[in-house]
Amino acid sequence: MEAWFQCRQLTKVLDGYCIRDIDFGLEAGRVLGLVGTNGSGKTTLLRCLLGSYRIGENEGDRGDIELDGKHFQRDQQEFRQSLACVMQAEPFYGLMSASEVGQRYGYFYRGFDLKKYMGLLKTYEVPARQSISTLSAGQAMRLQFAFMQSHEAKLYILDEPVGNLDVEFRETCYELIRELSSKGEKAVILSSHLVTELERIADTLLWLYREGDTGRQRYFGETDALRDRYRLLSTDRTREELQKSGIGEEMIAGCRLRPTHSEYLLYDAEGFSEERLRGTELSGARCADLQEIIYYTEKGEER
Amino acid sequence: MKEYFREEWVRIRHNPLLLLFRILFLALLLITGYARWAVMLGASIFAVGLFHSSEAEFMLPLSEEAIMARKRVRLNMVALRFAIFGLLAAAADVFVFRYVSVELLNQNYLLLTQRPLMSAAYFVLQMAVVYVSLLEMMIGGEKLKKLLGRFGNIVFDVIPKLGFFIFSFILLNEPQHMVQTDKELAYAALYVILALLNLTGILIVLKNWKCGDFSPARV
Repeated sequence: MEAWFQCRQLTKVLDGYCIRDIDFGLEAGRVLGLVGTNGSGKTTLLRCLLGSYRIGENEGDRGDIELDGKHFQRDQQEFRQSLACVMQAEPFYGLMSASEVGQRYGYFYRGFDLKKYMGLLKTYEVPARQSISTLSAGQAMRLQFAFMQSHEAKLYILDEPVGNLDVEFRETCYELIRELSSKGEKAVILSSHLVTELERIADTLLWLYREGDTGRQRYFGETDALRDRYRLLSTDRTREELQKSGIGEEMIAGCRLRPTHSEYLLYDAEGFSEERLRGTELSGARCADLQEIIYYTEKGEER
Repeated sequence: MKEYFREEWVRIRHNPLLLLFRILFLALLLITGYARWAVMLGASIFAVGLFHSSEAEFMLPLSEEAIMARKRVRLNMVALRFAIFGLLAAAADVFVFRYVSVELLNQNYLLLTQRPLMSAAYFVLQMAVVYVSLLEMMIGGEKLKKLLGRFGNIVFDVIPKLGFFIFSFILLNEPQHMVQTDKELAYAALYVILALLNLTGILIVLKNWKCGDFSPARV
C-alpha cells in the first residue's frame, strides 16, 4: 500500500552531480529525519520535492512524487499548496523586506494569514521593513518560520533550520515540529547535521551518502530499527584477532584504531538481539547512537 | 500584467523614501531642462522589484506555465524598460530640439561642449549599463552576479545613479554655449548606438512575449 507521501526512484541530474534512486515514503503524523554527510544530496532532494529543481529538465531525470494523492507534476498547483518550507539558503529576494515577502508571496498561498504572519514577525523579533539581505542569518531563518506557519500546509520541509538559531528558538522549532506532527494530517521532513537532536524527534530516518559525484540512499526506515542493526565494541583486540573470534570483516562497518584501544562499529542487517549477543564476543558491545553510526560508517577505518 | 503592477505597487509602497528621492530628483532634472534624463528617470520610478530570479519564485504553487510566464515577463520587462527609456528619451530630445529654444537644448548637450571627457566617460558607463542589462537577460541575474563579483555589482548598480546626481549639480551652474554642429552630430551618433541597443530589447520582447494574464486564479 502506498504511503501518504511517496517518493519513488527519484533521480535528478545536475551539472557535475546527481542523486540516484531515492525511494521513501512517509505517513501523516510522522517526522522523517534526513541525514548524511555534506554532498550526499540532502538539499538537492529537498529542492526536488519543493520544485526549485525540476524533474525531467535534464536527461537522466526520473521519478515520481505524490502527496495525499496529488502528483507533483500533474497536480502541481495543488501539490505545492500543500507544502511549506524553511530552507538553509534564504529563498526570497534579498532586497525585499519581510513584510513585502508576506504581501507578495503570501498572495499565492490559499488561506495565507497576513495578520498572523506580521504577528509572528513581531514575536520572533524580525524587523518587518528591513531588507532581507541585511538581516542576520538567525533573523532570516525566523522569517521563514513565520511564513511557513502562516498558511495551512500538509508537508513541512525543513532544511538545516536550526544551525543559525539560538538555543531558545531551537527548542521552539522542535516544539513546533512536534506540534505539527501530532495533528495527524501533517508530516515533517527535517534535514539536520545535529544528529543527536534529530534522534530525539525523528521516528523515521532517510540516510543518504555520497559515492563519487552521486548521492545515494543508504537507509530508509524506523530510527530504532537502524540502531538495532549496529553495536559499538570497545576492545584492545586487533581486527585480525576479532576475525579469529568470529566477528567477520563484513560485520565491521567502521572503526577507530588506536595502539592500545580501538572501537569497532559492528553491523548486522538482521539486527542484534540480546539472546544473540549473550555469551559471545559481542556481549560487551553497547548500542551506538545515531551520531556514532553515521560517523563510523562514513569514516570507515580511522587510525 | 495586472499582477505585475500590483506587486510593483506593493514594493513602491514599502519604499516611500526611495520613491520620494526619485520624484524630487525628477523634478530637479525637469526644472533644469534635462528633459532626456528626466524622462529616463521617470520611467525608472517603476522599480525593478520583479527583475530577479529568487528560488521562491520557482516553488510557488502555480502551474509550470504560470511560473515560466512570470520568468518571461520579468526578463521582458528588463528589455521593455530599456526600450521605453530609449524611445521616450528620443522623443524628448526631438521635442526639445524642435519646439524648445536651442539654448535650452544646449543645456542637454553641455556634457559634450563643456566637459568632453566627463561626458564621454558618462556615455561609456551608460552604454556599459545597458550591455550588462542585456547580458543579465541572456545568462540570468545569478550568473551575472557571479561574473561581476561584489565590486562589479556595486559599480553597475550605484555609480550610474550617482552619476545622474553629480552631473546635474555640476552642470546646473555652467554658462550656456552655442551648439556646435559637429559635436551635435557626435552626440546623435552615440545616441543612435543606444537606440539600436534598445531596439534589440524590443525585438526580444516581441520574440518572447507569449503570456497574457497569469494570475493564480486562472491557471
